[in-house]
Amino acid sequence: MNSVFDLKRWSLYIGKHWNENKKRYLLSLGAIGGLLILWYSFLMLVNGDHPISRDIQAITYYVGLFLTGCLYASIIFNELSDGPKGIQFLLIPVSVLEKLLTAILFGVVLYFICYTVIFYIVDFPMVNLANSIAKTIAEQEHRIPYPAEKIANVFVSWKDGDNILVYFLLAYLSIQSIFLMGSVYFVRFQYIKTLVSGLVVFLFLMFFVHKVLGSFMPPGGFFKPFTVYRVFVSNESLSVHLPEWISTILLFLIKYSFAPMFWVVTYLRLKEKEV
Amino acid sequence: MIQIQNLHFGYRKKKIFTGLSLKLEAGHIYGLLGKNGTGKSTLLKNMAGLLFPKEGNVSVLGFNPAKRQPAFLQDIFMVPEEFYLPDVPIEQLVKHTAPFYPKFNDDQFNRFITEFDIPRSNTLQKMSYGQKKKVLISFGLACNTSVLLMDEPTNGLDIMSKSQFRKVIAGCLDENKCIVISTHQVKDLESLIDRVTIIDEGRILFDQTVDDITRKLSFHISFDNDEIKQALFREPSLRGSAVITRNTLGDESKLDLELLYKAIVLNGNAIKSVFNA
Repeated sequence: MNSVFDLKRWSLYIGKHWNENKKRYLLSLGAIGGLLILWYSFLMLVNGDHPISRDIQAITYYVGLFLTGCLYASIIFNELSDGPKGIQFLLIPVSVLEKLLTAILFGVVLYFICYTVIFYIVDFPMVNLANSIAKTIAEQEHRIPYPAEKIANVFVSWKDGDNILVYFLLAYLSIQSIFLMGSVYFVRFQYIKTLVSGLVVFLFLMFFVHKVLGSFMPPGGFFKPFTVYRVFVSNESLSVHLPEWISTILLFLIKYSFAPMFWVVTYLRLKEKEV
Repeated sequence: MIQIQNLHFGYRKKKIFTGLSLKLEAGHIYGLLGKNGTGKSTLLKNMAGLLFPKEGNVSVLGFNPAKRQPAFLQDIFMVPEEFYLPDVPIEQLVKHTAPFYPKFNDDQFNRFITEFDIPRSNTLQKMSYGQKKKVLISFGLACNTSVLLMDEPTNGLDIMSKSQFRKVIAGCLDENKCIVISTHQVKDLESLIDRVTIIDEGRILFDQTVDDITRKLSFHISFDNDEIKQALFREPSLRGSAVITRNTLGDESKLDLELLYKAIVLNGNAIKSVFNA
């Protein structure tokens, strides 16, 4: 028997997890859908003559994703904060990796897919409804209506320049993985404690980089984050570039390594968890 | 089957075990007795891999429990004092949990829950605490794991259920299984266990088989003042005194677990001297 990963055992555990949690999951998704409807209704109520812009749709999508996704990740190992549930969770004959992969499957992959589906199930009719309401109001007021808004593709930027939305998604995955780790590290109030701890660590790092490491640097500042530093000499400025290969590796790591790194830490913490 | 060597364990400032050693073999039902807070549950959790020793070794079925490997977990089952069962019908519980235990026997499970008067069609959500506990005990027994750990299993069970519990457990033991029952309700286990282990202040105060105890000690009611005075332990009762004396005549006497427990805790040296002789 493979003590680290066994596909059959993992699929059995996925079935067990779904069977025991499906009511909670379906209710949560219903609640998210309800909140989205409420939010769009509010927008139409206060600004009915304007269609819901793609910017607002994207902001709604990402704010909702960050808030609910991180909240959900912070309670994914909630069993561990409750003695009897923790005992049941730790003693079920499944490896730590399989338990973590199940949490990632439900909390990261399926949650993301379901949230996106729910978002569009609400977004599509609500944006169309807002368009027709805006048109009706304009007709009643005998003026030219604002152009109807399209449904936003929240993964592809409709403006020129870099596709910044991809960075939002990567940032979301990284931040959510911190909350996932927090759900194992903290016994109670995981969401708040992870939020506060994350903020403290972030502020400390900012302080350290700017005040401590910055004191060793010549006058100037980062021109491109992490890769190009601009030095001011007299009235001129010089750019110091990291070698291309280092920049590439560094940016790759910043984009893609945070979430897996925190998942590994969660795995190690889960292994040493006691009840 | 279970070997504990020089176990040190504590919660922050409070030390529970300081060098506890114990060996438990297959084919026995061990009664782990002790006052509240002496570490009975902690010891079971160390055996199950829910808590890790600060020092020393715990080996169960040749595994280090702290690693919680699936091969270990599928051959051990714990019925904790406070337990959790998901809000699903019994049928679903069996369907989704039993496959993790290769030796699970569905017929046995049916027999046990019938013995406990629980209809299989019931949903766990609608059951009382005692009924849920009986389902968990039945499930644990039907898993046929080599090690079965039970922490205060009779808590929350009514009088009838306690006797059903004894009957069911007694019928389950075989030479490959080791059942460890921790309790402070000693009367519930009197006719069940075949080895008594008493823990106090993090150490083993007493550890003997029931056969040895009844062979060397006599538990009876006495009206003889001389015998009462010379008894290893005595406790006044409504009629005469309940005493523990040396079993010099070799008569079979019925074990009074509660009396023995009190004697060990209050006058342990006198009792232990009988076994050390």
